[in-house]
This record gives sequence, C-alpha cells and structure tokens, in this order.
Amino acid sequence: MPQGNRAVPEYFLKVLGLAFLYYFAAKWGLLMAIVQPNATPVWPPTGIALAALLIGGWRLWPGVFLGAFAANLSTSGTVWTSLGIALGNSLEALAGFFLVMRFAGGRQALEKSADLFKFALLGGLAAPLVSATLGVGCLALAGMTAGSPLGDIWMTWWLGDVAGALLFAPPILLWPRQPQWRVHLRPRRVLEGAALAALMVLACGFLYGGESRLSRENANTVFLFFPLLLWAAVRFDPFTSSLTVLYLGLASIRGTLLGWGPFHGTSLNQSLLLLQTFMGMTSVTVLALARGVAERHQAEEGLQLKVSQRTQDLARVNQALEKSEKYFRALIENALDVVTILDGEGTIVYESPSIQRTLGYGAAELNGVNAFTLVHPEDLARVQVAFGEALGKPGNIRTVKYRFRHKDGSWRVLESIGTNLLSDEAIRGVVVNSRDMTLEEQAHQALEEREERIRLLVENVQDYAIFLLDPEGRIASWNVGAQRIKGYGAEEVMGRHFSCFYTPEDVQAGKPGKLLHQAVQEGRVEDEGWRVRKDGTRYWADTILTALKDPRGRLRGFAKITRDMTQRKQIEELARSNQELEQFAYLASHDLQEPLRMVASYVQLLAHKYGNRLDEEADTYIQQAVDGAKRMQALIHDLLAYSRVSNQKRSFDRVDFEEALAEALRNLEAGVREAGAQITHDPMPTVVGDYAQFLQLFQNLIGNSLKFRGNKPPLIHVGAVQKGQEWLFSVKDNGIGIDPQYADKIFEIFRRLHTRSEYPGTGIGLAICRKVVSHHGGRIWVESKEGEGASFYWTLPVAKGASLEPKSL
Amino acid sequence: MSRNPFDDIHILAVEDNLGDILLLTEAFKETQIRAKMKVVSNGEEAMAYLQGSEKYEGAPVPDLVLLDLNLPRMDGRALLRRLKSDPGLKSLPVIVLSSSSLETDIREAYDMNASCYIVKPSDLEGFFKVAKNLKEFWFSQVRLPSRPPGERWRGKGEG
Repeated sequence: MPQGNRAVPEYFLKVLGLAFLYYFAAKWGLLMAIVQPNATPVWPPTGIALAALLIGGWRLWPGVFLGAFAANLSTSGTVWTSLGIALGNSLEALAGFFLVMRFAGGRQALEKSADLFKFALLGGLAAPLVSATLGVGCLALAGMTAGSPLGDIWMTWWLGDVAGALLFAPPILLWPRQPQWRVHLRPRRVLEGAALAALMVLACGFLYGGESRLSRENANTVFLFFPLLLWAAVRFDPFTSSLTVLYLGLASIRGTLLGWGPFHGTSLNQSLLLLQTFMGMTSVTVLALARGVAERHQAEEGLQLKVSQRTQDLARVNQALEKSEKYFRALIENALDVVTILDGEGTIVYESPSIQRTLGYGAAELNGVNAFTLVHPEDLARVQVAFGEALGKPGNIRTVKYRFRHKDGSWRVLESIGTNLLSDEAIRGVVVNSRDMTLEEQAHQALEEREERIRLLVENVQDYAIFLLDPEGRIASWNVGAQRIKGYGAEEVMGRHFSCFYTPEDVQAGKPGKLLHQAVQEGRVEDEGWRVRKDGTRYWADTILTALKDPRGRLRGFAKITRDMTQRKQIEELARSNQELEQFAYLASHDLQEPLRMVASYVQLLAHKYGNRLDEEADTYIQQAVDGAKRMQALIHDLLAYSRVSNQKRSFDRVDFEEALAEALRNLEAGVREAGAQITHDPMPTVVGDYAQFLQLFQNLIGNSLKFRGNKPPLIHVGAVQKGQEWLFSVKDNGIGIDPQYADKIFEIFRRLHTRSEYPGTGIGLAICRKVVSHHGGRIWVESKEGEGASFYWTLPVAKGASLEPKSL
Repeated sequence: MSRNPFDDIHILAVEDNLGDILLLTEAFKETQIRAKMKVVSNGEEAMAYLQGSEKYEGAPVPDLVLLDLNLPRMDGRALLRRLKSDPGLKSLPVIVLSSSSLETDIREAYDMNASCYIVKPSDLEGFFKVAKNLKEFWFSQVRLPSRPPGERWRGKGEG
C-alpha cells in the first residue's frame, strides 16, 4: 500500500518505469519470436520483472501487467488475449517473487550457492509455468495458435521465460554495490576483464557468426566456451559471470536463429529447446561456480581478516603482557624490600636484586640455599612455625620479625610477609616480602632502654625526692629518694595533696597553691624552705616545681624535685659562724693589744721613774703586772696568728722550702745557740702555698723541739720525702716525747700538757701548725713515746710543674 | 741653704692616743732629743696646721711628721695620700708609727711614699729604743730638707 503523499507519485513513477522497461524488453524479445509471435525463444522481460519485484517489492506488479499488456496488444494480440497474457506475465512475476522470497533467500537469492539453486528451480523454472500455461491457454482460446502444435508453443513459451529469467535476472540482481567496484577496477582486473570480453566476442563470432566454416557446418564446438565461462566464474565475480553468460546466451540464440552454430538442428524449435536447456544449465552452473568461488574468496578474505585481527590482538596482548611484566619486574627489582620465593622446604628459588643493598648477597647468590640456615638460631623456631602456618593453606599470609645473617656476618632484623602461592601454577612457591627493620629495631630498643634507664634512675635516686603531681597537686608517683627524705611510703602518700609536706604556717599562707600557680605561669619555680617529714621533724628543702604541659599547652601535671639541704644548710651556717668567730677573734685581739700595750708600758714607766722610791713589795707587784700583760700579749699574738691562717685571703705562690726553713732557723738562732742544738735537714722541695704560714710552721715545730728538749743536747732533723702525689715532711727530735694518748689532743687550741712554769707557752702553736697544714690540703700528726723524742709528720700536695727532684744544698 | 744642725727639730705628731703621746714625750726626754713636738689628733687638723690656718698662727714649721694610721675622721692613710700628692708638701718626711704589724698596712704605707714605718713597741723599753734610734738616725745621721725661710710648708690643699 502506498503510504503518504510523497510515496504515491514515487510508486506510480516506479510502476510506470517498470512498465516501459517491460514494454521495450518485450518488444526486443518479440523480435525473436519464431513459432508464434507471442512466444519467443528468449523472453527478457521475465528476468527483468522478477528482478524488479525482488528489488522494489511485489507492489510493482502493475508495471509488469501494464508493460506486458501494451507489448502484446501492440504486437498481434487482441485486448482479451493481451489481458490474459499480461495477467499470466504478472502472475509469473508474483509467483516467482513469492517463491524466491519464501524459499530462496529473496533479494539475496544469488548471494549463496544453496539459494542460487532454489532460485533457478523456483524463480527460473517453476514460475514461468504460470505464464506459459496462461499465455498459451489464452492464445488457444482466441484461436491464434496458427496451427502450430500447442505443446510446441507452450514449450517455447516456457523455455523462453526460463531463459529470460535465468539470463536477465542475475545481472540485475548481482549489479555490484559500491565497495566491489574498487576491487574490480584495479588495472590488472580491468585488463583481464577486457581480455575475457574480447575472447568471448571472438569465440561467439567464430562459432555463431556464420563467417566461419565451423559455424556454418554446425560443428558441435560448444565445449569451446567452457574455458571462457570457467575463467569468468573462477577469476571474476558472479556479476561478471552473469554478464558473460548473458552475452553467450544472446549470441547463441541469434546464431541458432540464423542457422549457425552447434545448436542448429533438424527444426528450429528443437534447436532452440536444446539451446535454452544448455543456456539454463550453463547459467545455473556458471553462477553457482562463480558464487562458490566468491564465497570461498569471501571466506578466505574473512579468514584473512580474522587472522590478521587475531594477529594484531595477539600482538597487543603480548605487548601489554610484556609491559606489565617489565613493570612488575622493575617494581620488584628496584623496591627497597627484598622479595624472595621459597619452595616448600624453605630453599630460595628467587631473590630480588635489592638483596644486595639489604643483605649484601650478589644476584642469585642465594639460589638453592635454604633460608633457614641464615636465620638467627634464637629466632629459628619462631620463623619455622610461621613458615609452617603459611604452608598450611594456599594463600595463607604470615608476618614474622627475626634476625637474618648479612653477608658480612652481622645480623640484620627483617620483617617478612610470606604468602603461600605453592598452588599457583606460575609461581609454585612461598613469596616472602622482607623489609630491613634493623635501624627501626635499634631505635626502638634504644628508646626502650632509655626509658627503662630513666625509670630506674628516677626510681632509685636516693638523694632527691622526684615525684609527679596531677594538675590539682595530688601525688601521682613516688621514688626511693622521696621516701627517704619525706618518710612516707608510696602506698600511704599516693593521691594525697602535696601540701602535707609544708609547715602549717606555709599551708596557712597558701604557699603550696601559690607555687602551683606560679609554675603554671612561668613553667617552673624554685623554692627553698623548711618542710615537714612524716614524723613531724623539719628539714630544709631545695625544690624545683615544673609544670608539665602537652604539645597543645594543656596542663598535664607537675614534676617536683626536692633535695634535703638540711645538712648543707647547717654546714653553711657553721662556716658562717666560724668565719664570724675568726673575724671577731682577729678584731678583738687587735683591739685588745692597744690597752694592753698601755698597761704594760705605763707599769714599766712607773717602775722606771719611781722604782727607787717604792719598797720591794711594790717592785714585785709591778713585775707581776708587767708579766701578766706580756703573757696576755703573747696569747693575743698567737691567737692573731692562728686566726690569720684562714682569715687572710692571700693567693698561693710557689714557696721554696729551703728558703722558708733557712729563715725559720735564722729567727730561732738565739734559742738554737742557747740549747746547743744540732739541726740537719733533707733537701727541701718547692711547694705551692703561703710563705709566711710555712715559715710559722717550721718555726713552731722546730721551736717546740728546742723547747721540749731533754737533758741531752737536742738533735733535730727536718725531713722531706715524696710519696706519690704528696710530700711527707717531718721534724724529728730526741726530746722528752709525748704520751701517745695525747697525740691528737696536742693539736687542739689552748691544750697544754705541761705547766707554764715547766714549759712556757700559749698552747696555740701546734693548733696553728694544724691549721696551716689543713689550709694547704695536707694532714699533720705526731708519732712519739714518752721520753724517746717526738716525730711530727705532715703532708702537702706535690706542686704541679715543680721539679720532683728536691733541690740540693 | 742648709739647716743649722744646732737648731731644734720640730716634729708634728699626728696621734689621737694620749698614752702614746706621753710615752713618746717621756722617751724623748729620756734620750735627750732636742726636738719640739706639736701634736694634732687627726688628719684634718694636721692639714690645717700645715697650711697655716688661723688656729695655728705662729706655730713652727715641722721638719718631719710622726703619723699614726688609725685616727678618727680623716685617718693616717688619707692624710698621707693628701700630703704626698701635694707638690708643696710631698718632700716633708713622714714616719709612720702604728700599732699594726699587718703586712698589708706596711706595704700600703710605703706605696704612698712614707719615709719609714715603725711598729709601736709593746713595752717601755721598746719606746726608749725607738726614741734612741730616731735620735741617732733621723735627728743626727739624716740630712733633712731645709724649711722654706720664714715660710711654712705651703700646701695647696683645700684646707
């Protein structure tokens, strides 16, 4: 059904076009009508009509009808016969159409060899039955058979239509589509086509042309066409083949009609029948062959295309595979981690090159080595367990940290992840990914050790109370020092507020809270003062309170360090009072001397001026007064010397003991002479110290020896011996000696062993000696027995840089 | 013009201890020193004397000074420093007579150009000995600079 306004005129144009085409083709075909004007040896319109309906659709049949009617009417028919014949032609076309559409693949009937045979059978042989039967029927009814046998007419008609269908429909249906032209128009193809066409024309002219004797004698030379037909079918496409067959058909019919060629037989009709049969068979055979060849070509081309596609695909896949392999290899070989593959026994099958960097082994050096032999013996059991677990199940993953031997013999700490891929065809091993954790492990251990050390340090510090407070001031940790200083055990003090260490006065004044506040404000605060122990006693504490803040500045608590400074405080106070005492002694003795000098001088003046005017008793009194004053002066003089030893801040010099000793002996000259003493001495060294004090030391000790001499003349020896880093000096005499039980006492101030009348003295001399020696970092002592003389010894440090050899006399 | 050796020697004693002054006087008498002694009791008075202030109008110009170190107000050290830094007075000999036997005091005195340093004796005999030695050395042996004729030692001190 025509659809839409535009389709209607297009349809009529097509119908009209078909009608005209049919008409002229019919007119051309009727030229060859021999038996009967309406029945020709070849009827081209049948092929044209069939092809037209197959291409344009069955609705174009009116074109066939109109063309056929017009052609018959204008030839020799009546209206009725023409109508009947036209109807027959139309039905023939429609029947062919429907049969081919239904059974032979329709429009594409010639594209497959199987369909091609059905097309020839249904469209070529069967459908013309309709037209021939109806057409001959009509002619017979109209009495227009002109005496020819009906069978002959029918046969001619039918064969004519068959030849028309088989010769003309194929070229139209096979009319090449656009793409094929390119193939056909290749120069060599065109040349070959031209050669085929030329040979075909020559062959047809030679066999059917009438000029050759062969054609005139009707020699059976039809086989001569076979090579050409095969050539067309094998070397060219079905379209070209159909054209070749068409040309051969037309040339054969023309030649046969003119009495030439192999098909000219006894009767024309018989000759044509033979020819048409030949042509029908030839057409089908050649087309089938051509189609077969074409199909093979197509198949080959398709196969080639597929092969080349496959090849390309394969190349692409290979490329991708290669790239990916390269990628992963690079990844593994350049990674810091070491990748090894072990077999089920733990033998190394592969190791990545990074093993060189991490463990020192060269490429493939460890291949075939059992990995467990290089694991630290202490870690081996653990590693084997992990490996066993990994082996337990395909895909199992286990992580283990252990020590592995470096090529240089040292142990490196590795952390390994093993993945069981034994069942993976491509790998068949346990893939172990190992990372060198040596530095991390060392850092970790160092950190742990440091923390442990700090913890032990803090916990065991004895001299400092070190503890933590929470932000409110409650005790949160405790150490040995805290327990020792404050007297509380950790269990009884944890959680208590630290104000329990302060005196009630301090607590009342809010000191603990103020300290916390100040620590928060200033970061840390130092404080000292009296604190209270658990037993209530007080101690002098030196404390540092530090606020502990996290990185975000929030207060986390306090660290408190307390030191018991009570002893130091006492020592300081003692030192201060000592110093004050010495200062006092110095000033007092100095100021005491003035009035004493006056007393002594004026009593003497009194005696001097008025002595002869007073009685003897008065003289005695005056003598006592002078004596007392002089003793007092001696005491004050010695006390002054004593206090000066530490009171006078004089820098130490190098003192030549030879010189000091010589001066001391000069000062004692009178006493030495009086006692008749013999004094000898070792070579004396140079010592660092205060010259005047050393002079006094020698004077006092040698003076002592002179004073406490026995009945024999004194023999005194001054010795000096170096013992390691010390000089050992001595003054030895042969005097009265000292009872050893007083050996220590004699160095105490004002300590006397004898009455003044026996041995005069102030009792300060040896105290001064001890002070001088200790002031210079030495010790002094006496070794003696009563009546056997005394040996005073003292030590002094060896002067740095001083000659070790005593100076010779 | 040199000093006449037969003239009395004039001594200015700067001393606050009356006991010592008396002992000195006794010792001078004992040793028969021809010396006239004027006494002032502190450094300021000594300066006033030497600069011829009204109070000491007509007082004799001293040939030498006997100086105690420990004095009230301007003490002996300060006076010594003043004298020795005064161009008009620095040639006046100064004998330090102090009860201190401290090395530091002795050194300090000589550092300030004292002519000599004598520790005050602790008994009468000592005083006599000092007087005797002064007489024999300072008043006999030593040539003292001559006094400016009819003039005082003219200090330019502040007065």
